Amino acid sequence: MMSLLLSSLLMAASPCGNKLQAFVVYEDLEKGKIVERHSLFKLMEWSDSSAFDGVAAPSALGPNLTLTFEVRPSLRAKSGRSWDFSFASWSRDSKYQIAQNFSPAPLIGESAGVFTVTLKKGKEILCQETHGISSEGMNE
Amino acid sequence: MKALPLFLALLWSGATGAQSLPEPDPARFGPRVAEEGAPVVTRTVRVTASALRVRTAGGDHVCSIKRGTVVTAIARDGGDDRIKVKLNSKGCPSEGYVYSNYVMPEGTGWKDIVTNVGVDQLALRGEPSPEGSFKCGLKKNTELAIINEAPDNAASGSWVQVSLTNAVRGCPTKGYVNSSYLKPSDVFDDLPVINESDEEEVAGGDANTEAGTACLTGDCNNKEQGPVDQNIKDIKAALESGTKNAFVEELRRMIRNPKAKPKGFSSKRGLIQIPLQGNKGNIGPCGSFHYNPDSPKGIDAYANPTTACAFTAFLQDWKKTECPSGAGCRLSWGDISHKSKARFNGHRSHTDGHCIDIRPMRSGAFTGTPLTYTDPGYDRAKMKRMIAKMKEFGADTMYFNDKQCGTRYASGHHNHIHVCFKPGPKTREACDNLTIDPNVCPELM
Repeated sequence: MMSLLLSSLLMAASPCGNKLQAFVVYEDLEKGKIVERHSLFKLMEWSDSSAFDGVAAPSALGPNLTLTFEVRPSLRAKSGRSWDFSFASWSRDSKYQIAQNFSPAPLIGESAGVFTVTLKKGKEILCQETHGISSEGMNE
Repeated sequence: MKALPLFLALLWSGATGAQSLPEPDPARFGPRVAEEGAPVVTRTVRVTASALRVRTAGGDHVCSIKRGTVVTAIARDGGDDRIKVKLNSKGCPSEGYVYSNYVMPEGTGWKDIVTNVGVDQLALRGEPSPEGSFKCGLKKNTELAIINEAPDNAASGSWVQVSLTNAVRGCPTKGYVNSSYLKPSDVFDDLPVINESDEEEVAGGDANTEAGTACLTGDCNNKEQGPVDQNIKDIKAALESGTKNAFVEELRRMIRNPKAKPKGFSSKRGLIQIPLQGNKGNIGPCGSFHYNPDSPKGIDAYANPTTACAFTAFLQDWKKTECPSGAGCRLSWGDISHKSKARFNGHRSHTDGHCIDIRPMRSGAFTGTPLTYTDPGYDRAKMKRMIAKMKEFGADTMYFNDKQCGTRYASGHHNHIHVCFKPGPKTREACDNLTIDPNVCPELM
């Protein structure tokens, strides 16, 4: 049943791949000075060890991009809470645009379940991915 | 014990060759200026550090001298551990200042020297190495006689065989200790005290003779540690901290007295916060990376003092032996325990500050991003080495889902290893032996 549901979700739209990536901004030492850096990586399950600061899409995808971020208590749940975000160019890297004012941590909170990202251009769905939200304490 | 003064008198006369020297009084270790007309006392000493910095009276680095170099100690600093030496090394002036911790008397060396333990809970071991069987912890100022300065099978030149002057309950009468933790100042007590007002700056020399500072156990030739090394502005403080680091001292104090409040470090619930740098709290000790530092920064980084101590020892050793370059081998760690909440983010086993989450090892460059053991960038060989190294430092419970690593499976542990450094013989040993190397862990200076 679970796999059927997941399959149906995946069939709804193609996975995002490089169209939508997660990013983190962090500080590091460079020649004894603290510098800020950023890294992009493929979207994955949300947990304390794989949290991200936001999502970025290539600037080449053009304007009018929208991110829909939905959190549901489980994969089976038909509905949850969702939020929409528009994109703007990224001052850290002009090759990307990022979902403005999007910060997943407070939206996910301490809940377990799944989150779904949907990237749209106008009304067209470019891609969609669903990942788990892990509450690590449940595993130990 | 009654024979000690006579023993010391014989010892001192033998070591210096000055028959008329007065008997040193162990209770009088304060500054003593050489009297006019008294014989000039000097001592031939050998450098034990791999690269020892020679400084001016004002503390400027003028050159470095290598392990085994023989110099002549001609005076001591009354209020410091520095000694003034005459030397004949290329690129160095004829006189300079070094820290006495990094030299030992030539000829007689340490043998038969009565000395004192310089730190609390110095490990007395059955064999001359950090892996030697732990016999007991020696309290600070415990009096020891060094009976063999170069025991067979010693892990390094720092290990000496000692006998306890007075019996200590639970300790054998003989064993091995790391001489880096002994107070060598007494050895130079009969040297004249430097009269600062008469001193002129030592000039000349080549500041670039040797890049490193004094390295007792590290490899000073490793140039890849460069960037963080530049944080060390005051070598005097660095050297002092190298033997008595504030963070480590506070950890040891908390271990002895669980109710103790660490000075200069944040603590709560008997846990101490691992020192973090930066506005975000990403920069951890010894080149480590603290991911997802929560808000306020580092509120998830509170550890049991023994855990913090053993983990720091592990971090330092990992960087020194496996990751001097700071590439993908950098340790990325996260949740330990929360400052005030016994349970946070659903964690059940991150409440008492014993357990830490560490991301899998990656190949290539460091990126600050998460990964799983199924990721193409995952480095299993490196991960196995990290697991083995953590066990050396007392880590026991380990959850990680790469079956080939020999760890326990637990749902959700594909993107981190959950590891616990609980108080026990191994973690205490790791803590006992921890000396912060300013080249490796400048963030703790």
